[in-house]
Amino acid sequence: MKNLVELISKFKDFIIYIFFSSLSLYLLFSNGFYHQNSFLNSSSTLMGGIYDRTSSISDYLELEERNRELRIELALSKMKNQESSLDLNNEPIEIIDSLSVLQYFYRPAKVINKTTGYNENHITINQGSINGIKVDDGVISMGNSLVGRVCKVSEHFSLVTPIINAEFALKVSLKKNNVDGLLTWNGSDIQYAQVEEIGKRTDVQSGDTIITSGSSAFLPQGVVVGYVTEIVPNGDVLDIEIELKSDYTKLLDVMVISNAFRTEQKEIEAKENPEVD
Amino acid sequence: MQIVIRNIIRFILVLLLQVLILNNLENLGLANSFILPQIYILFILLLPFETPTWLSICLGFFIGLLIDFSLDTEGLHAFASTTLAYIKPRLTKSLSPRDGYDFNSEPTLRDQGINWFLLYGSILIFVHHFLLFFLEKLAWSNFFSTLLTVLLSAAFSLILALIYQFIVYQKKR
Repeated sequence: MKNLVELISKFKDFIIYIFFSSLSLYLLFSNGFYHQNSFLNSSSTLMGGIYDRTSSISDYLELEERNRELRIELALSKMKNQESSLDLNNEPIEIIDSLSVLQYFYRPAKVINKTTGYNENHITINQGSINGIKVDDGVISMGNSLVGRVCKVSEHFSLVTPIINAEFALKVSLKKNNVDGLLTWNGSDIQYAQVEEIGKRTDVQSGDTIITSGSSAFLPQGVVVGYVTEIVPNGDVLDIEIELKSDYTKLLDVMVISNAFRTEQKEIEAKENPEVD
Repeated sequence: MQIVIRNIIRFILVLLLQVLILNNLENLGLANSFILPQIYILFILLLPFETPTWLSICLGFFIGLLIDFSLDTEGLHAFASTTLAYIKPRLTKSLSPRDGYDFNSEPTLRDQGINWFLLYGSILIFVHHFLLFFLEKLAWSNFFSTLLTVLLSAAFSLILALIYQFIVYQKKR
């Protein structure tokens, strides 16, 4: 017995070492124990609180990269959307995956320059012909509201004519009854634009939503333009003032929409009616 | 008594350094996955010579476990630093000068000189990092890339350990 005590005291350190190292190896290789005890891991109140504070610093530093990822993700998810696809259901094709083809491509882009104080404002974005952008492609904001259309394309950049450009004109319609009108801008306030050519008997109330009509070849139908704020009768038509949904002062990221079938649509329209947009 | 307080302060300091800064190097974009310095083991390295082995093992386990909590590594660091704490007294014994260490001296850069500390530090840091990264990978297939991680991280840990001591012990000279 005395020998045993001596032996233990001689190997005391080793025994303690074996105890603690096997305890840590047990923690390492038994998956259940650690995760069941939430006070032991980094999501516990103490560690969570510390990480909450420090992560705000690293979050800030990663912001650029995360933004880029989000833009790409959003563009991808929009392409998966049903509205981006042209229905080919009438074709006698039996392959399930080919029932529709992608009509609208969404490409994320970054606003690198813009003017808002002029009569003919422009926005410069960091995507150009090399990225597949063509003149007359539609431009929308991340919040799915209309921004404008591409008017010039260089290799790496594009110039966008926004709604707030006196030269901008586009067919739009009222969401509730699909009555068409013409969207223009009178140059006074970058938050408001005008819709003309809506008949005076049309049922319009302030607060109604104005969307793109889809009759123009460069944008899908249903992109929100703005909301009616003021209706003034002017002879046979109504002059409608709308509040734009896109906030041009805060515009940072946009998406460029390319219609894969635009040339085709234009061609067939040009034969019958050369004046269509 | 003073020595105990100094070690407690060091304990807190290296823990904060490790958890708040070094474990976030990757997030801050300042390091790649090959350089993962572990400064917290400096606490074990600098424990006084007189510390009983059982106590340094307990402390090694404890500080390793705290790092595990912060990284969700489930006992990985605990194992490596327990082993480190177990080896440490044996190494100091074999590295001791002919007439033993001076009374009340500590295994620090200031008390033992740069040559002694470089040898002492690099052996212990290498052993710790070797255990840590090979146990983490648990595969010999990436042997050389893991070894590269071990060597680079150990070098950085050693440099940090030297810088730490230069800064902290400057005033007392």
